Amino acid sequence: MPSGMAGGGVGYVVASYVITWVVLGAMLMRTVSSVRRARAEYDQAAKGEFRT
Amino acid sequence: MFPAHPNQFGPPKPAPAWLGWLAFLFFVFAQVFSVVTSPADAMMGHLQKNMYVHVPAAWVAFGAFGVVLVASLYFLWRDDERADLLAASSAEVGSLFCGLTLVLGMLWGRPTWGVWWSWDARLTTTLVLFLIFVGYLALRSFVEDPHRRGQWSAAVGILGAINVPIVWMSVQWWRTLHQIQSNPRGLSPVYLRGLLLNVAAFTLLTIWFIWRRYEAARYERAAEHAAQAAALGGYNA
Amino acid sequence: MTTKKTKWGAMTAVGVLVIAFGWLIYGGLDSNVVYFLTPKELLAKGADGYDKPMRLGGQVKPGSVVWDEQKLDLRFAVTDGTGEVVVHSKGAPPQMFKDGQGVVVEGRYGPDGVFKSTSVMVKHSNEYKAPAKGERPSDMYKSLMKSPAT
Repeated sequence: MPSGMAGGGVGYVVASYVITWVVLGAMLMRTVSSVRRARAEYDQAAKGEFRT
Repeated sequence: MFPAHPNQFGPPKPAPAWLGWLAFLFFVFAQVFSVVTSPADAMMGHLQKNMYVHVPAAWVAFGAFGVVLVASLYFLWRDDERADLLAASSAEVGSLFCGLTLVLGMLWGRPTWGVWWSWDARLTTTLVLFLIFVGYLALRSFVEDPHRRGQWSAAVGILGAINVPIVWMSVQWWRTLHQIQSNPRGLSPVYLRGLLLNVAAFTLLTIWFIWRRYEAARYERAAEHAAQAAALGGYNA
Repeated sequence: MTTKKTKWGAMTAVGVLVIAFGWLIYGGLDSNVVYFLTPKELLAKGADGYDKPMRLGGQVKPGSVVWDEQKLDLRFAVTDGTGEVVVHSKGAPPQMFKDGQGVVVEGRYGPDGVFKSTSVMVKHSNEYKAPAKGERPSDMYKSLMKSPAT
């Protein structure tokens, strides 16, 4: 019988955690940068509004 | 409570910085703590640790789609564009976690069941749920008019969220390869603790993600409003 | 900015949604309502059950497993307590395959009373137990795997 489970499937577990952390980390970056960008955009537009 | 012109809103109230730090530090703590303290399961060894990512991801995805449901209904009722933006933010975060759930499930299914994928009721309904919300996000990006975009996506969001209880109950209603929900009594206390800790951590993260994405969407719309107002000659609400 | 590109995009999105909802409401789930048959149900079909692609689910009958490591040939009986069906499969079973384990097998049931399986899947229970003191999971797997064949 194959005994891939002898190690308790560690490879699959490691892959699960790596994927989770990478995905959530990417989402963190995306979220923070999108807020920053949108805020700058708004500040720019608001300035234009008050100039007129 | 309800401004006369709900859609002439200004910039949002930013999410408190401490919430973000709390969410991420607690997440790191929950993950490391539960992995380090969990002994290998009697049947499947370390694969049990998949429970600390797969199950919380699924639950927060369901929760986020629940937010989509409530926000979409509110949007249709009050025509408040902010509710539409909240629904969109939740749909995005929910889709992310739903996709993650599918991938993590496959990484567990392969060594446990012997297959990456099987067309059983739980897996298939989850995939459909994921596709509906990917469709929701695609639809949003292709409809220009904010009002029409809001109404169309509210309809899709509500119908999509109805699928959540179907996914949840699928393991009870049909014979599936996927096991039924674990009962707290069927879990060793150490696993239950790790699971609950991670569910709390994922929930905090989800709240923070939705809040910040909502914030970005609010800024974008407020910028458009301001630009329009400027073009119309300095309207300043 | 309603260009051709956005129109096609919107149509694709709507198409995906229509297919997803359509699947949900009609057909899809209906034909999969019973994802697998139990041995009792399969035997009750009689000749109607022969040579159709299907899934059979139940427990591996303790003591029924015969595994030939050289020929990668696996035979065992699937039982639901009342009926039992002999399953023949080529290739190694999943690691968690063992006596008394819940399994779902894909394949065809023949008139010779043998279910020729193309895929053996292990159905995991919803219980998770930390091993008792002094027990090492890796040892358990080895013993689980050895016993049926010998």
